[in-house]
Amino acid sequence: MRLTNKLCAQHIGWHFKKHWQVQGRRVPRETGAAAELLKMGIRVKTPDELLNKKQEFHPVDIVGIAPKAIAEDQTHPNWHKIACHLFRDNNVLVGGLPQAQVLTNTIEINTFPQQIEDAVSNSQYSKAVDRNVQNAIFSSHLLDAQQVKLPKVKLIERPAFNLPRLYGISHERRNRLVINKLLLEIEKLAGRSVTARRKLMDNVTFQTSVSKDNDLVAITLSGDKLISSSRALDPVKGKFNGELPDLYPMKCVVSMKKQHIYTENNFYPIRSEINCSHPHTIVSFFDKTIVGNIHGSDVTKTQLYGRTLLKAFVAAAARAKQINGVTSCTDLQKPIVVQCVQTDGREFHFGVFQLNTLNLNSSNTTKNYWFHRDSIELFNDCSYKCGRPHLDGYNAEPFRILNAFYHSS
Amino acid sequence: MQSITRLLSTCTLTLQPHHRGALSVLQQLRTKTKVVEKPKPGAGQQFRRTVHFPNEYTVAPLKITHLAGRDPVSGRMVAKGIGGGIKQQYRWIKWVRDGPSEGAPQEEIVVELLNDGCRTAKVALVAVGDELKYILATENMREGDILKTSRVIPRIPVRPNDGDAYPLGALPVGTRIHCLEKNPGQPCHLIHAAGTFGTILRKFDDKVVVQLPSKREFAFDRTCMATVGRLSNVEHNKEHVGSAQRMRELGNRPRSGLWKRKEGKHGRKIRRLPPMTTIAPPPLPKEQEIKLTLNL
Repeated sequence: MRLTNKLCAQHIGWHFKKHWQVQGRRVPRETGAAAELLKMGIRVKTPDELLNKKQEFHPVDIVGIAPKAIAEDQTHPNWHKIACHLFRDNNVLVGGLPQAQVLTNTIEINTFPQQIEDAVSNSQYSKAVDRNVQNAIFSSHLLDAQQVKLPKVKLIERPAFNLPRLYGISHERRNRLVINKLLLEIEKLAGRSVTARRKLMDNVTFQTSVSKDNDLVAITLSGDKLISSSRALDPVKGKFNGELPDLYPMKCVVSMKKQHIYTENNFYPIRSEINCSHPHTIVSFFDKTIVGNIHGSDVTKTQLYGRTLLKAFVAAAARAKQINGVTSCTDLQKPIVVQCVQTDGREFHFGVFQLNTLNLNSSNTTKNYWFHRDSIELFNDCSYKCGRPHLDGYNAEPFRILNAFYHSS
Repeated sequence: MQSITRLLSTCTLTLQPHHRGALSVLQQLRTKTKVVEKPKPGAGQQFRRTVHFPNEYTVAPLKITHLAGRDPVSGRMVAKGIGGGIKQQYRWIKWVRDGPSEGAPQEEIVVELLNDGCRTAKVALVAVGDELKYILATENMREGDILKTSRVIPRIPVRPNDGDAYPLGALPVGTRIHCLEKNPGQPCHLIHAAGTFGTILRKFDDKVVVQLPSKREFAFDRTCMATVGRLSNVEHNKEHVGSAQRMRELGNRPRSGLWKRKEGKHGRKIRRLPPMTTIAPPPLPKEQEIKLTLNL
């Protein structure tokens, strides 16, 4: 029964119990008794010291089934006193392309290099090639046999709706199929003379660390496909001038995670002695379920462009450091040019990066170059209509540019 | 068949004494009332959700656990009418706008305005240096705006813009403010709801009188920080919930039997507001109390 007033009135035991609930909580007041006792040379002990003596346990070092996790503190072997800003694949720069430009000391040029522009505008394909490209889109977006659970879809205006889970081709596979099939078409057009000088690699990693105005930045990014060539791409002819964007009051390392545990490794996936080791083109995929802002917002266009630039930069910088030594941070004798493509299977963003200097400090007058155009769509919609595969708004431009990129030397 | 049944019945009979012992203990326990202390609602503690705050400040959306009106310590129901609702993500607002105490104000840029499911006003993602943080968005705040923060109190009041944070003493009379510090050094706890604002009415000695959204007037210390402007989502109080289901989505349970005509709770007699009150200094920390046990 609950201890109500009525109940307490009936039973002295319960009454005491109720009374004790209130009186049992005491705030000890300073009466001066302890000081008096100390004066008389009597040590005052708390009841806990006598009643609840502390047992000290000595941990036994047991060899377990798995190696023990290393504590992420100052005892960690990779702990550094100076914190480093880390940038990985699942992050984007909050300031987008301007932030990437300032970070990599790069000026933006809103066209491709003349040689590629000419190659794009002069390219003419037969109808058969166009048909093959459209078939490639169908087979990667609709006709592939993979059926996996796709990510959950939530309607913003109706957050309580639990929509039925869709099955279909996974994002990663769809992108890989589209790129593989487009490259196959391009290789068929190029012939043996060009393809013999190119090599394709899947899932490569680039890693480098750079210092920018007293900040240390470690970048680890993956290229979902790397086209390497037997000869390095020629530097772009001409001199380009431009100003770096002003980010004030932001710094260019904003939105990168700051950590004390890191490694300052430089990693380029192919050894320099190997024949086809020069970076030519990097293809990277964009999946919005994996890549996002640290604050959880959707990725904007300019952030997407910034990601393409950083992918190209890290590949070029890792290569430059592989050739010139890890500690080099000066202007390069021979600039390194890397082409970069970022796609989500439908939208393509192309860019050409020229690394002129590894000295990224804002006081340096030599700038790196980033040639790019706005992203373009390969098609508007690819779906089943009335039970038949339907492609809407096919655009051949991405294929032309990719072809020009593959051929450039 | 009958013999098997008989056999089984004897089995149960022989097993019973064991069970009876255990049951009697349980019954004895059942009669004892377990005294559970639970907090009272309305003392500033919320019973809707607990937010899992990490050790360091982050702008990443935080995970929450719904409490459904229960006290997280005892697990007992404290607040009625709360429960369910869509699971939102919590954005950790940096309540203290800390600026330089001398020299030029610190400048910050508004990167993005976001809707936060756990509060009514919008939140703004703000960047300064290599730091990102959230603050409450004001009515006129736009992406790309530069906000100023300073703790300097000049002789002549400043001309602030929306979203700037200054001490009350630095702001001119008539300014609309929000995110107000109750006492210097405390987090900016006052005026957070969508579309609300306080108004600076007058100044005397080292106090500044602010009219809070409840229309009551309070005198704050002139060094208390406040953010300028009216909070965003002004139409929030005009919005209709629309349906019972929407109410459930918001995390409120069906209500009934709450209407009490005669108690004066629903519609009070309109009286004159109490006179201006000076904000009391923060209370001293509660003394540690010892809980003595008595096994009766």
